[in-house]
Amino acid sequence: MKFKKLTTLVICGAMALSLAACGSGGSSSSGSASSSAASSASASASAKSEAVTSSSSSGAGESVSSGSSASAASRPDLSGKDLSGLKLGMAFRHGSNDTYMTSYFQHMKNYAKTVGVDLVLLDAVDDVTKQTNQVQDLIQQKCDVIMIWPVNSESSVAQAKSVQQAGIPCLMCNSNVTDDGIDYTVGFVGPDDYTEGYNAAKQAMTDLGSSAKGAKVLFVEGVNGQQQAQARKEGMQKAVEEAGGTFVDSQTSEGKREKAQQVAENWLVKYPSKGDITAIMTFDDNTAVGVYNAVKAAGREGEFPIWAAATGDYSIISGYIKDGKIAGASLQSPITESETALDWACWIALGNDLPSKSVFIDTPVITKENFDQVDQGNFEKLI
Amino acid sequence: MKKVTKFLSVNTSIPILIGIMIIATILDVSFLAPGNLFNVFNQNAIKGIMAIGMSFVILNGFFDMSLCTLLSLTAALACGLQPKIGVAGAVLVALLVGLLVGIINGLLVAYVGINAFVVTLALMLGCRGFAYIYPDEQSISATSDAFRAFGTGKLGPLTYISWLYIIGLLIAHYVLRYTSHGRNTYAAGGNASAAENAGINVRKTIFINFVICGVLSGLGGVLYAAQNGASTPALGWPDMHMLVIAGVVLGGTKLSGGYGNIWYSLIGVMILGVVNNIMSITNAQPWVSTFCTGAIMIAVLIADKFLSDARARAGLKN
Repeated sequence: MKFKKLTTLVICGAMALSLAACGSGGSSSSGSASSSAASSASASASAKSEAVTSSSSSGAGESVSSGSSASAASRPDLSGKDLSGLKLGMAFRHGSNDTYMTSYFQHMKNYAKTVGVDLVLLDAVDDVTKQTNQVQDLIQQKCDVIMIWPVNSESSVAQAKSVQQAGIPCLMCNSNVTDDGIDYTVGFVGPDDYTEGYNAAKQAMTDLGSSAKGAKVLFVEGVNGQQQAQARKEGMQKAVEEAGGTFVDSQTSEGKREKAQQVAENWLVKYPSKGDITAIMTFDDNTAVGVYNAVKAAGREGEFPIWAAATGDYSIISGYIKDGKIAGASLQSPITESETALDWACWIALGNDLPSKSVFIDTPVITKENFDQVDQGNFEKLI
Repeated sequence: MKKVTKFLSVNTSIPILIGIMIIATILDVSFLAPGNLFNVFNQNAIKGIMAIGMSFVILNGFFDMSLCTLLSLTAALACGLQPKIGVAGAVLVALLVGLLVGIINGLLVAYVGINAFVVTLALMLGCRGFAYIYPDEQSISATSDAFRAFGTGKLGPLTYISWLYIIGLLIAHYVLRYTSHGRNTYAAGGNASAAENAGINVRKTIFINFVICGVLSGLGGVLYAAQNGASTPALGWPDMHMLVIAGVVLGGTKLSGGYGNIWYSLIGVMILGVVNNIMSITNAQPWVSTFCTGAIMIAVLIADKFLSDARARAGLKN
């Protein structure tokens, strides 16, 4: 009896330790878009919002997707084309994970109806096994093109291969396969994560002026191993170092606002004096809000700028970037990204090729100075 | 005809599966295409293999929650160790980890006497931790082409994994029906104290069944890694164990133990698979699938209760 009680106590203790040891885990570790910054935020194709700071969204060499990239914001001319006979399939990562993905998912559905194409849109709810099954279902349904926003970049290699083996073009959206799967796909439509990070950080360093040289920058990472988060970090770091600054510290937020706030709170204790921190940069807008909350609670608002690599959530853009609480970010529109992806999928289904292996969408840098140029119609407010 | 009616009233999951398939065909006739039906089987073969292991435990009157994270850990090991010790070595280590988890579960439940829910929950959390710590929270691609080829290859209309599932079903049927361990499982699950009094080593039976479940859950992780060509830390989280248990119970195996068979698990898993397939064909939201699964489970359990009561009353009248 005593041994039984002791063992029960030990097990409960082990459970407690296991909970402490567990990472946040969450979604797959690479490839998929994360949180509300989402992958690409691009201004509408009519390009009203050309940012004050130029940001070419064409691949800056070390982009997520390999191969050459088309110029930003290009969309095919589908006028006069009969799309009613086309059947498209999309295996989507998670239709309700965050504001960006929800907007993308809902708009993709509506836009398909608007252009008159038959779109089978399946939601894997971040389950890689479900997505594998859904890709098989789309193959069975004999789609003309299958689009995949992967739950996991490594696992999507096998998925893309099975689509190609079925004789169907496979188009990756928002997050790409890993390099060994590129040949199974016809291409990628989405953001250039590296360039987003680079452009946002470059603008940040420009705005710092003389403080840029020797700048001490703290960086909040996304989920460990996630390709998109990694690419944005590399882009930001490159721009910071080019301007003479350094990443003094870099920690994971596990993709969560609350964790980002905790990380920032610890930093504010570790670097207590004015001048200890030149800027804080984050991999997305959601975590930037977490950092801002910590900074505000510590009463150090305005001491240094907070920059995000990318933003795709209008509530954050209007609530934080508009009045400078978050200094700026590369702008992504789930509306434009989803429409661009669907347009190119139709183009491929009509028997054409992508202009290049990667089609990156426009992601201009937004700050409070050019906030007026943000077209609210490019984002959807969710109730 | 009377025999058929009696057969169907005892094995209620069969008419339910047939009914769901009829509804699916009405919603979209392409459901009945042979390619689609084989597709459903192939998609659910790995769940089916894990359901075999779970069936042994449920027939014994318990269940195993550690499945959902154990498979993530074994998937990571099967991929991560390939470059170091080769694919055979990596798979063997992964299965040994499944065996170890099964042994721990079995020892604590059978010999120490701790509640299975607590034990397997603890192992679930422990495996989840290791499933993130070992691969450093990253996905790991499988380096072996043979490994990947096995995961996606086909023999005829069925995948290699599906054929493995069929072999597993036949072996499990033989063990449950024709071996002493199988008989002991049913006896211990039906009435443990009566089984003990009859001279059955109930603790050993429970222990072996948890080991079987651990190994097959670990195998499930290895097969998912082969099928996907990679492991992900979140594989199976948060509810793979619930789906596998649901498949076993939906088929007609009683959670209280002592009643059911391996073919019930096959039917139960296929019911879940067909529901998911209909959702894909009809482009429905994933939450509709979850709702339908829950509704079907309740309907099955209510129908089963009524029929059991009716049979009992018929028995009393006679």
